[in-house]
Amino acid sequence: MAYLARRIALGVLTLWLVTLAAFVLLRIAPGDAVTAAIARSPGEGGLAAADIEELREELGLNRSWPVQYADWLGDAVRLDPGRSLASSRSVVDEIRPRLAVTAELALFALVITVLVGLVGGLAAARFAHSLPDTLIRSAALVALSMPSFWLALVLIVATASWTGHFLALGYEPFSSSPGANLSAVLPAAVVLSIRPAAILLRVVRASTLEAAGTQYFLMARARGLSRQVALAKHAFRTAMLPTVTVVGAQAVFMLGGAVVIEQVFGLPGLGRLLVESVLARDFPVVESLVLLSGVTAVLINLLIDFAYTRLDPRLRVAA
Amino acid sequence: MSISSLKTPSARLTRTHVSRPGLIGAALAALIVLIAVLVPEIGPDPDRQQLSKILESPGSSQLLGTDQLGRDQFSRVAIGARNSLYAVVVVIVVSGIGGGIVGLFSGYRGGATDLLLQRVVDAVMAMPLVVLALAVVAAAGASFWSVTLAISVAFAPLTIRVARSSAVSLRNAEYIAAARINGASTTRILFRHLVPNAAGPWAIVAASQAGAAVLIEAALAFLGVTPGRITLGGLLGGDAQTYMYGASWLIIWPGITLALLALSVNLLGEWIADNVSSRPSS
Repeated sequence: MAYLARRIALGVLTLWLVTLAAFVLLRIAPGDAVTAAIARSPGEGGLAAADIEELREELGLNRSWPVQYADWLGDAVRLDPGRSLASSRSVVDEIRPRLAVTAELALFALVITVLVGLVGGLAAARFAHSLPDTLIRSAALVALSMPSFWLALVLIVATASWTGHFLALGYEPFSSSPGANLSAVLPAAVVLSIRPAAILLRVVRASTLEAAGTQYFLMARARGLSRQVALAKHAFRTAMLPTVTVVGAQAVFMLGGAVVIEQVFGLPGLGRLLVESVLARDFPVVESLVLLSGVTAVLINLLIDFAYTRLDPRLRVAA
Repeated sequence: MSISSLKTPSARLTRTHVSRPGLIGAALAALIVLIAVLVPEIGPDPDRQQLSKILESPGSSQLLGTDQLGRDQFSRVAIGARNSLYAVVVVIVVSGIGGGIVGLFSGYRGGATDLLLQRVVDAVMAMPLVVLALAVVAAAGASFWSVTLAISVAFAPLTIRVARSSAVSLRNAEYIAAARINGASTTRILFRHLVPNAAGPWAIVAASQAGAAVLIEAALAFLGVTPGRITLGGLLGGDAQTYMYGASWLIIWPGITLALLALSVNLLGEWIADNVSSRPSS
């Protein structure tokens, strides 16, 4: 438990550094929210210097950085990150409906990743260095080199011209129309899972083969277990450790991958909100989204550490 | 002969064997570089609009067809590939080489510098790459170079981490101690001893990042954050989204070029990794 306590402390520290990074990143840049807002609405008559100063004061941008940071952090902790500059709605209201979309997309993609990665990786290890293995590994390498958003475009154009059916035709909440919801989210989830699945597959294969080279595996074989059973009973558990690491890393990756895939499939998720906000330099929204993904990533990493202690008994006692 | 000029036990890339994937990767990369260098020089101007020739399908006069403004698609793909190559080179230099040296220094020095730097690395590594890169773009403004720099910054922590762990394990090696006793400066130890001996894992990480960098740069360009420059990702986004249903060549060729470029970089990376790991460990 000492191990876990240390990981949690480290997670909190990282989280704090993430807030600091999110804050500093958007303030070292030339220009601030006010100049960005002016740039966004050209031709609406110039603002007088006094007006600009007044606006800065209203938004609190004229105070020193440490004061601004303390204030901002306080707001973030109270889940009150302010208003969007673009829509002047509260950031929480902007984010909430979109969170569900991204969460659904990422969840489906993660399930597909784990299924394909585990089954494919174990199959490749079972048939190591023979034809099925070569085929699976080549497919994984090709999948790693494919730009996923391009595959998505090809998929959309191909289905549109062959079947006359448009894959990217907007989004319906699951509660209002389960069928329309799934037909909008599932293709996107499949495309999003291609790269993570390929990475996971390679890791599962490599770590299973590594475990199959150990003495205890040889011992299991010597006791008369078939290669298949020995792999399943003895190599699999050892192979789970690196597997869990990769699944976690890929879950974090999906937060980023969703940005692009949502754009292609027209899903109104957090990723599209981020792109829109970046292009509009809508700082409160960008900051909140960076913070949100940082928090999610840190939590995922904590979950992985927890899984470690379940999988590897040595970590439960070692400091 | 001073001790510090003795050859260090080598983990550098000495003997290499040429594998089939390595050869395929090198041939592909050479072909793409050739097209990226030559076609924009000798082919039609990628920006020249010919409104009498809009959306022509690939054929004898326009090898890869034309876009909605009659611009030659082959020239545009070639210049896009050139820009992708620029991005890869910058990422390798900044994240690969720069990050590696920072990591070696951090690991060799240890102490407060190391502690502070590693916590910053933790924070950066905690964020999803695309989100981090977009945040940098939001701060620095949308342009090709800010995107390329953002990717380098987002990639650097991993190189730093890997190089650092090599430096930590080499720090107490006898030949490093010998060099120090001999009066070698930190800079000399860093470049003469640590860099060549940590090169293996470092090269593997940098090579795998190069392939990913191609795709991430393209993804960000696709989102429209590299205005004013023709990129492979940019060719797939924007107006191509409107015309792709009738003119599939608008998305097929930039995409295939992108995939082949990433594949060649990945194959070269695998080749480097094979050569590094198949050598006897030092």
